[in-house]
Amino acid sequence: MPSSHPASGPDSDARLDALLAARPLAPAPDFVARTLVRVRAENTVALALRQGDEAELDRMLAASTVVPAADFVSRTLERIRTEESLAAAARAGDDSAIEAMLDHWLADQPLDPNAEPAQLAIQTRRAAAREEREITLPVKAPWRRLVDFPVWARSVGSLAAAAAVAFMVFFGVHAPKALVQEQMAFQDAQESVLDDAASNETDNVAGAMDSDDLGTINQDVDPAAGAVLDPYFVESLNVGMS
Amino acid sequence: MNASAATLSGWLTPALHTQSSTAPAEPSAPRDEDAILMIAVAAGDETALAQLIRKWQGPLINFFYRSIGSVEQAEDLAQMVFVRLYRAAHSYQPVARFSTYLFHIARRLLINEFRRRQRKPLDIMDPADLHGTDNSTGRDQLRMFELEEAFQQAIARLSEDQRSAILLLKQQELSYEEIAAIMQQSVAAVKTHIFRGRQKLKEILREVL
Repeated sequence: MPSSHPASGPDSDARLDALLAARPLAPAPDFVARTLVRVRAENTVALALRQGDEAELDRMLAASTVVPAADFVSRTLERIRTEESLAAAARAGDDSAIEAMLDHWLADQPLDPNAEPAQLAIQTRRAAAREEREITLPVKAPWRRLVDFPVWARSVGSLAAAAAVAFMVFFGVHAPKALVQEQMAFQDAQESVLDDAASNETDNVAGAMDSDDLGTINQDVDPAAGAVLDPYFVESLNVGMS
Repeated sequence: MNASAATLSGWLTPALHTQSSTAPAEPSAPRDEDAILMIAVAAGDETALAQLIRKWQGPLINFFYRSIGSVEQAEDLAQMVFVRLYRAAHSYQPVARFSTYLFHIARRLLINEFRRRQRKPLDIMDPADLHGTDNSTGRDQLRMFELEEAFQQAIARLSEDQRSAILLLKQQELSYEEIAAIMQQSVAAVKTHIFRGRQKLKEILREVL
């Protein structure tokens, strides 16, 4: 008796091939057109995004990609009821409810089985504090509002403060340093001239300088340029000549 | 367990939100429709809660989806926001726009989620997750595949600050001041995050597309 099953009987291979070759779904008549539209649309958007099109970027960001499931509201209400009844039971001292809530809160940070009750209490307090922070919108203190200048004012203030600091740094560090350096250089020059004068005087006393040298010095000393010479130096030369 | 139970019972008392309830309320604070709904929620009106969930489910899920890249986790986090919101209803004071408060909670949860992931990295994500619930039509539907995946990958490469600031501005259409309040940063810092994030996003898109 021949089997009606396609995978049995003498011509099962042929039947199987026929089934595999069959195309049960014919493409919709507008399949090609729809595909082309989709390809063009995606390419257009992709090209715009590649080129940094701000408007397309905004449209992508604003798009509501996910539509909430139809039963989302009822599921959320059910979850709220469950959690609240658990909390109520825990408030009433139900140990199993307390443990269930602790398990729920501490799921992210499993406790050491040998943890001390004190550690457990700390973790519970932390979980409670975290949740408290979540539901508390910080209110800016009145004094903060008073000093909460607009952005441009803060920018101008920052610039002014930076300029003031730069001014103080320049005149507080750089300028005095330059003055001191200038003064030291002047003192060095003055000392050098005095040393030279003293040296010349010593040479004259020792008789090391003859009258020809003095004549040369006198020739070198231009009365017009003499103003730059230290009076003490000129005086010492005069002493040496006499 | 006794010590923790004592802590727990203290935490669960209705005095939980005394800190926030003592915050000074601004006389000029905006009292939008959602704030009125929150007051109704505090009075035990579950219809008001359902209304809030219905209104904000889409924005929240999409915010989390763009930040995390998984529809399931985005839904889970959105649910957690509403759980927190319900618990905070008794102490809620409309010192800011409701959206500011809502996304403040959302971002705190998001940061905690990132921290949790750092401690316990997840398996590689199923690419099917990236496509979301495909109920959209028209042009958006065309983007749900390779382009969407590439865009999601590009966004994932931004820092949390940059991504959140850009999404809050462009996806949620919040003002710079609101974003600054949500992120607890200055307006200038928020603008910097947005500017740098956009520059980076454009660079990444040039690479991946």
